[in-house]
Amino acid sequence: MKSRKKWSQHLYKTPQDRPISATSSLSDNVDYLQRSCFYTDDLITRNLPYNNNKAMILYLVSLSDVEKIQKAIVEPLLLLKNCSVEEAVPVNFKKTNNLVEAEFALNAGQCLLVSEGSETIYIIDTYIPVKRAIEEPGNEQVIRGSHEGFVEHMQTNLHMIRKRINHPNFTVRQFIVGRLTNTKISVLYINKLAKDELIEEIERRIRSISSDSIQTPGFIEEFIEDTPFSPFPQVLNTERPDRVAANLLDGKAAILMEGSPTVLIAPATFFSLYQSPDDYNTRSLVGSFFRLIRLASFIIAILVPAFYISLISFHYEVIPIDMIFSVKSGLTNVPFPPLIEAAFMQITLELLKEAGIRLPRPIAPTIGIVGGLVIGNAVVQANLVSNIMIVVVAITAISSFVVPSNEMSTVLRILGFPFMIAAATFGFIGIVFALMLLLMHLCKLESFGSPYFAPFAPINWKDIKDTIIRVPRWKMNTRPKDAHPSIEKNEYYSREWKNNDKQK
Amino acid sequence: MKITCIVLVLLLLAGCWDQRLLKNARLIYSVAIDLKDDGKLFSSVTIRSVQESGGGQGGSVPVNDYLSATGNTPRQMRQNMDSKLSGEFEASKNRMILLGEKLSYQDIYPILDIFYRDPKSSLGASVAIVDGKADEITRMKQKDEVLIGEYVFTLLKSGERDTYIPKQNVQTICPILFDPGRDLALPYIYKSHSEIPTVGIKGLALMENHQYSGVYLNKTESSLMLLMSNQKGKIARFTKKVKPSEKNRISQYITIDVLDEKAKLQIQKTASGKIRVHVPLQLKVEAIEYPIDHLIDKKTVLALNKKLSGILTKDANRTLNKMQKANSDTLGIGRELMAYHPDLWNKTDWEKDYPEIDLSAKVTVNIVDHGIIN
Repeated sequence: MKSRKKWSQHLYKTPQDRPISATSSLSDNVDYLQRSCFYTDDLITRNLPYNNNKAMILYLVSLSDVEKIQKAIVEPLLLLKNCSVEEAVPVNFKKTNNLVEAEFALNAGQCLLVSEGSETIYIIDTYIPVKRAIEEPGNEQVIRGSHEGFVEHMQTNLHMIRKRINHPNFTVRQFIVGRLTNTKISVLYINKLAKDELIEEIERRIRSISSDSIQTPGFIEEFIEDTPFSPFPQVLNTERPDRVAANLLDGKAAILMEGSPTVLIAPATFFSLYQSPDDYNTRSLVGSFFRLIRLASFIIAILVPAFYISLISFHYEVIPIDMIFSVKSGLTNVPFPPLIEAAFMQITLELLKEAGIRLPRPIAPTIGIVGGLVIGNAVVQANLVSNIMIVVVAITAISSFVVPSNEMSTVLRILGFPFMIAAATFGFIGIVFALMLLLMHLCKLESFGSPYFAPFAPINWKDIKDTIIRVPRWKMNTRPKDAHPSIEKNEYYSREWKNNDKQK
Repeated sequence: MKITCIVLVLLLLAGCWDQRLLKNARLIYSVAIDLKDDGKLFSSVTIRSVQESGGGQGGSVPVNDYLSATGNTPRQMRQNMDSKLSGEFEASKNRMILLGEKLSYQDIYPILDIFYRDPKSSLGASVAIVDGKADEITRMKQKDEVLIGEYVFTLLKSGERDTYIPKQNVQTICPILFDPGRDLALPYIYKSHSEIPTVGIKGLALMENHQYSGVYLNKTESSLMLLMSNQKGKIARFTKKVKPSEKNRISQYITIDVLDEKAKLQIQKTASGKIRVHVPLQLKVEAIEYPIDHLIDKKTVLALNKKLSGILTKDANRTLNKMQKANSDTLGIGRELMAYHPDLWNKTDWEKDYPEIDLSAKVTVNIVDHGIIN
């Protein structure tokens, strides 16, 4: 503990360091600032005398908008005589006499105006963000509904969420983490709806991050999640503003990071990973159907290979008579035990998937041909794998990709392996024991004080309305309880018009 | 690290010894058991395997392998068979147990014992008695293009559908075997020794307790017996001569399908202390073949009803007679007595008294439908 504190205090400067007052000497101040940046070459200094006083502006050309500096600082100050900076400069600025603050502002893309004989340094906002266009996130596409996705610029992301929740209770809390990267992160929630304890807990965990760098939201996720060694993601990752807004309206909190389009939502539950905005864009019958399909996909992805292995190595009397001979004929020439056979196919599939992502686009079609041939025909003809195993692995792979959350889909395929081992060792009993362990783990898991497997553990019949099925919106009178929202009522009798109709 | 190693080794290496790989199993499709002259058992099985027809792509032909062995007990026979077989002898997908006629005159339970004792054995298999030697059927290996096991199995299934034999398997016959108030009737099949050998259903072999009584019901009698015990399959069909006066032979007959049957055992005690059992059977039928027609005429229909009722009543009574002769209570009259007339049941020795009771049937036929032509 002691060493940790020492390390965090003395290695790098932080904006919270003891302030260093500016002097009234222009050259001293500029000297200090230049020295603090180690005379970096993209630091531009320029003499800008105004009001017959010597003055200088300093900015990092890589972060600042040179045109804006020209238009909003240089021109007004040169043209207008006898007026103060406050009157002359048309953009936002801040005054300080703390050199440390000025130094960090300079590194954040601000322009500093330092004048002779004054201890005040003007920090003028000239930061120019580089933004990419808003596009639909490639990993979370929907058929209907909003096609907006987050970008790497946090303000744009905030804009996209704020335009969906126009209410003064919508609150943004900013933090700066990472002593070297000074990454801006924001915690978003709806005040009075999100439980105070939840927000306090999230803020407490973020404050305790003591790291040099935060490069991706994955870093934050790993720092703040409850059970790091659980296979299940306890924070929901998304790139969709509508998904974030929907979760905020359930009383959850979102964590945005500058420089990444991925937003973390906490607390997450098992079933929130299975919700997609598509469910709400379609009608409830269709939405419920897809929910059930996704739930089935969870069971299929985990159990089908294990079930098949235990069938052909322990319990083949369960296979119907009309099927057993075709299963057997496929197996006769396969030299491996079923577990090796299944693991071989699963790993091949993972390799193909991974290669498909990494491969440069021009040669990507190659993987299709190779993969199609390898896991399609050749492997069966070479008697390495039985043809039914191919069907089993294909069904497993397809169902694992049904989950709207990419992490969850990988988790499913990884979880398949322990189940296969259990099945190859103990048959159906092994599967049952593995399922028991999985269920116990799911029931025990918590995410920021919320039960992960809600509404099934603890059971809450009312909340099933938005988990394994989706009832019509006018039936969802209360919010789901898993995030413990402070206000439960959500909607009340929006279809009163129907009663009015009848009275006519 | 040591612990992880141990756990991994235990997980990955344990259990393999009780794996039963489907790959290594030789699946038995049907079993035939006969009694040899020296008193030993003789059993033959068909093993279904797949013959790869060259090229490997989809063209595999199922074939039957024939295997036989002798032994003192069924288990010993299996052991002897396994020693003649590559791979593991696996009876868990067995579909059929065929018992030779000679063997079935003995108590059949000791033969079925291994099927009940082994949790992996196939309880869904059918049991049938073969007129003659059961081995002769297994030895055929193939009936035309169909494998013999499948052939007999589907034959029995269609017999169940046509109400010739009751729906039963190894599991369901067990309680009947041990029921003092009810007897078993097993499918009775034969192989013809004509030029083109056929295998067919002869009827139902009536069991007296655990052994075959030597009496069997023909197909019409079997159907009537099953209708009297309310066990109609999908179709119950009778063709009867109702117009002997017609010149055209085909026109003399009517074929009816039973749509609905209702039978109830009426048990009475006569003044002399004898048990009288009457079985009224009401049949709602559809005429599905009757070239003379005029079935729209009410009088014709009533006359036909009367005629058919008479014919079928006679058949039913003959059936009951046979059952009494065989001392085989397949209708479960004894069970009915136990349930509703315990005093009577306690006083009778059912084994001895059953052939003596006054057993009669009355069939009432009612034609309710005649197809889509008038």
